[in-house]
Amino acid sequence: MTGPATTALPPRTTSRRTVLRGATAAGMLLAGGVPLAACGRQPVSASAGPTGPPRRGGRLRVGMVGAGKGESFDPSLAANALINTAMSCAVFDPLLTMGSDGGLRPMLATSWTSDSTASVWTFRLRKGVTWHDGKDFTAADVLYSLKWMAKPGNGLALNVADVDLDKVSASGPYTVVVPLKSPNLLFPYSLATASVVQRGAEDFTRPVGTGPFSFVSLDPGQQAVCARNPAYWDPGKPYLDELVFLSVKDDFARLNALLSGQTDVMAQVPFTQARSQLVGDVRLIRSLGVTAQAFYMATDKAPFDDVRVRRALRLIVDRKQLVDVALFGFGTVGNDLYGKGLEYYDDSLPQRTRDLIEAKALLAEAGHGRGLTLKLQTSTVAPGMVEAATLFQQQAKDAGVDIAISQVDPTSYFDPTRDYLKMPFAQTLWQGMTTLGDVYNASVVSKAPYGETHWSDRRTDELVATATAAPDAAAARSAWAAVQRQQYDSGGYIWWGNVDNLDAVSNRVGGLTPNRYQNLGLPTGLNEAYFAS
Amino acid sequence: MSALLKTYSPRRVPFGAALRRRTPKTLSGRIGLALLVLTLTVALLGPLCTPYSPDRTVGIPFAGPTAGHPLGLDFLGRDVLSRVLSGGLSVVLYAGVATLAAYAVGLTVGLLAGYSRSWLEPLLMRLTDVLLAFPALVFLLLLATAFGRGITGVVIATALIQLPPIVRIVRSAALEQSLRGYVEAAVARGEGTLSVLRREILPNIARPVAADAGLRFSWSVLLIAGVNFLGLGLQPPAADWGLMVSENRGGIALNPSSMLVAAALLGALTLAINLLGDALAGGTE
Amino acid sequence: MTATLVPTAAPTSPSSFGSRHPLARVALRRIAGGILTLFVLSVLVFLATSVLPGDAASAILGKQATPDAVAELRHAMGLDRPLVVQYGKWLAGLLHGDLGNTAAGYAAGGRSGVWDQISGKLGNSLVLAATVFVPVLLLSLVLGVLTALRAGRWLDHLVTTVTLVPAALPEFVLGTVLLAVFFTWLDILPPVSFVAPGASPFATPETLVLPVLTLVGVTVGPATRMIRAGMQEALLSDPVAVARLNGISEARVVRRYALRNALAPSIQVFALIAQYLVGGLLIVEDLFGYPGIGKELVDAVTVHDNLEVQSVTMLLATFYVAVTIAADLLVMAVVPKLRTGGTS
Repeated sequence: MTGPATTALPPRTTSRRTVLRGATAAGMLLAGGVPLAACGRQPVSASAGPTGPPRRGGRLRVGMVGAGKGESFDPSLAANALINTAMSCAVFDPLLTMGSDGGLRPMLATSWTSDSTASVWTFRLRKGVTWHDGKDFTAADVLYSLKWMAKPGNGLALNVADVDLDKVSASGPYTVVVPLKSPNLLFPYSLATASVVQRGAEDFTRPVGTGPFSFVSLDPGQQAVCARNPAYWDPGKPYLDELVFLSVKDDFARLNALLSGQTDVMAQVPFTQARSQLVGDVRLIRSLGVTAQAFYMATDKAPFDDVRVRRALRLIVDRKQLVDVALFGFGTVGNDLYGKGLEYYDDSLPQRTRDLIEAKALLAEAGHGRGLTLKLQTSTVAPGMVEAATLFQQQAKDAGVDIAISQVDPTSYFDPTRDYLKMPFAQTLWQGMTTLGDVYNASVVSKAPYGETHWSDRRTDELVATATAAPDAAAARSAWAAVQRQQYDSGGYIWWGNVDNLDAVSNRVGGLTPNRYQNLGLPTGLNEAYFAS
Repeated sequence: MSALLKTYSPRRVPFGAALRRRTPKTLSGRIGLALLVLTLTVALLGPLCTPYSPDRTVGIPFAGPTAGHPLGLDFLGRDVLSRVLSGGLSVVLYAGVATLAAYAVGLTVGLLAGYSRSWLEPLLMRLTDVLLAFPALVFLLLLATAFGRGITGVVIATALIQLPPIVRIVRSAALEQSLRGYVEAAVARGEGTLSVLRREILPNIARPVAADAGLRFSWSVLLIAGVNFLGLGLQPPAADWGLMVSENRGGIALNPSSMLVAAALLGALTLAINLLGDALAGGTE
Repeated sequence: MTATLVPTAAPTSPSSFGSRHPLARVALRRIAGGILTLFVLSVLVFLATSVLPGDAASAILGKQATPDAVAELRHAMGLDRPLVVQYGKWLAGLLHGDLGNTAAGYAAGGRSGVWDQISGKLGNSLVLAATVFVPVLLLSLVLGVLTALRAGRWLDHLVTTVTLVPAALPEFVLGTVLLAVFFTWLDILPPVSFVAPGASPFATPETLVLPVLTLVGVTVGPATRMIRAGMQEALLSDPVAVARLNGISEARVVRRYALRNALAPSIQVFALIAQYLVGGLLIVEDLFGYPGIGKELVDAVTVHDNLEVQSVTMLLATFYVAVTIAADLLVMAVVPKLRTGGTS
């Protein structure tokens, strides 16, 4: 479900803007959309859920989009699917996480400080925390975890890419010193959501964590069960006795399960259903996430190596129609840059809109005046993606561009050993990124691991490096403005829409609120969930 | 369908007379014929008379019927009538191709196995047994993986799944005929194997084979629709009755016709073939 | 998986057997043939799964797949060994009842057995199949015989219409309609068939109703028609004609002669239904979220877990072959004529 971004990079919340966004989202709790009376059931109305203090106890059943055999508690596979993220967040804790105010919040670390150049970080660990098997949590576990994350193939490797692993050390059982290869003011964000595992842990078929819930069972493609960790370090939390993740691949079955009371929470509500099918005693949680969808062009492959073709295609897209139809209005138009709402995102660039005349002129200039035939590779990896491809195909016809749509197996769409990163013209979805540094280091610099557009430009690399290690906000802002201007003018992405995250919850369940970061308020959203009396 | 009719038309009878003789006598047979004509007409001629482009978004998703869009709009705001009209061709086409391909191979192998008395027969039948024991689902999934999601793998898988039963039916029919006197007479006259198969045996097994081909076709329709439903077959934005049902399931409360019309046509097509097959089978007694 | 039932021709019977050969000899020969079939199939399925592009290592690692990580996982799974060695190891394990380990288990850093992974789902599928099989057997037998006796009358037309209409619909259409009626509209049945791992589906019988109704709906029609055809043929057979000529009452003719002659084709019909029901009811499982072997197989194929695909395929094929042989033997047991020669 998630794009490449979530894989490797910790989705982080950072800016103060988040707070405002969150508030807006809360006010936007959707009211049913198109009203309809479906056979006696009433459409959902805006509702904040149950009131009153949280109550302890109960068994929360969460219907999640299934990932089949890929379902795992292994934190290194967490970003492969939302269900994996939810599972590993239940059993494991990171050192720190993002609070609802957008700032960092202590988890296994109680404090973190850096030297004056932001190149050596010191983390003080929480005392008295025990693993689910009764052992004490100490600095040794953190040291092991950092090295474990850095292993090739570990999904968290990029989180610790900055860390100078050989020099990481513990000073005492509850203090870890982490030197970096280059200064980074925002380094702690890299460790938010990166789960800490127990020293020596390699087998995650029976995971042992420090998290709010302990592992009970996992049947991939069917269900995962976790039980309350009575010894959790956060007093009183979690409220639930048991947490059950039900893997339901079919969207209609997932919705029906919620409507019939077979589940209490439905993660990832498809847009059509959010618009018209949530009826009865349930509410929609609409979060304005940092999630966006794009078409992307490999800038080193013909005809996309011609900047005029890229510009023309960007002008052909009718973003409003894509958002209204493919996202059913659950989103906002994009401006060919990822990261709207993030710190240093350049809001001053004019919103790009459809301009067929200019597009045709550019195509003619590039030698495609008689028409252009392209192949767009799409997949059902995210809701609205195939629909967007279909619409884009229609819109392109108006400019004499013939797009053939080829649908790719969703399980291998983001598999770099298959066609991912080799497709000249395809679609992507990025989510959960919270600093521009992560975004551009992952996607646009020359050695970016997810360089979908094959962008390779020394000036870009320098600008991104300068911006990431910027000593102060003003320098960072101007460096990021230059990076974004370049991408806005000639990049290979067509970021057409920012997408809302949608979940639905029974009104008996409280504690789940819209969250900037990801569906279900993850990583810590489920710690707050409770059943109303 | 052409395969069915072609194999079915008897050799030395004028077409008109044949047609009259084949017109079902029973009510259910006539209903079947009427339904078949109706659904085939929609499927084959429909794509020529769509009021809108079936792929174009013309309004709000799942909008109800209006004067301009008598069946309303689908999940992407496309005209349902236009999609219904264009969505039958693929159903008939791919099921037809799969059935034809299965029969082209099945008829050859079955005739050879049924007529030849050599080592070929047990070998062919043993291979057929193996194919038959190969679970259909595994066939479909493996071919879908091999060819990528798309209709090619599905058509091949459907043909392969149909093959073993066809071989068996043709074989037992041919075997039965090969023991008859007229075949022996032909062999005595010095006719070659190919000639015997083509001129003596084939015309005489045409009836059961044609009845079976009809059923296989309707079965192929259902199978391919099911695979399309699972998302392994035909891919959006293709307009296809089976695909329309699965895509528009979510709109059943908003614009039921976005799903139900396609479902009804799909059902009518297979029902028609079943009724007609019954009537024809009944007529032989 | 199969969208509907279509009669396959009766399986080949041994073409000629002397009357002194007892049924046991036939049985032995058929079983030997079945084993040979399964052996050839095992080679086929092994090759087919092995030559497909993509492997479990990269599929499960997903976006984390790096050449090193993939190579390491491939080595752990034994995928880097020669095909012949892999095949030999798999087959030897299979014969000892060891189905190997799942790719997902390797990817999570541990081991989890294929059998542990599939046994529950296989059980769920068998429960669903049995729950469908019994009513289909009874209904189609009663309706088939009844319509054959009343061929051409209104009862025949009524039953034919009522049973054929649902059978003409694809499973997912019928299932969707039933969902709309019994859940969306009447709200009396659960829409999703959750079955907890390790629990019996019978513990929550209401979750079985919609899948069973759908499957009975698509199966009863064709089954009834086949039984009806067999019965009609029996009614026209020589022994029945002779009995009638001898002035035996029609009721007695039906009971003593026709039903008996219709038994053989009916057994084949029920064998077909059993094979269809156990062949992987993917669409119904998908529609109702029922944790059965069809869905399990799809998940396994999706991540290229070849070992599991191969093992499940062999289990299903073994069931298929066993049912075929059992049905043939049963037919021979009830119709002694077949034992003494002739082809069916």
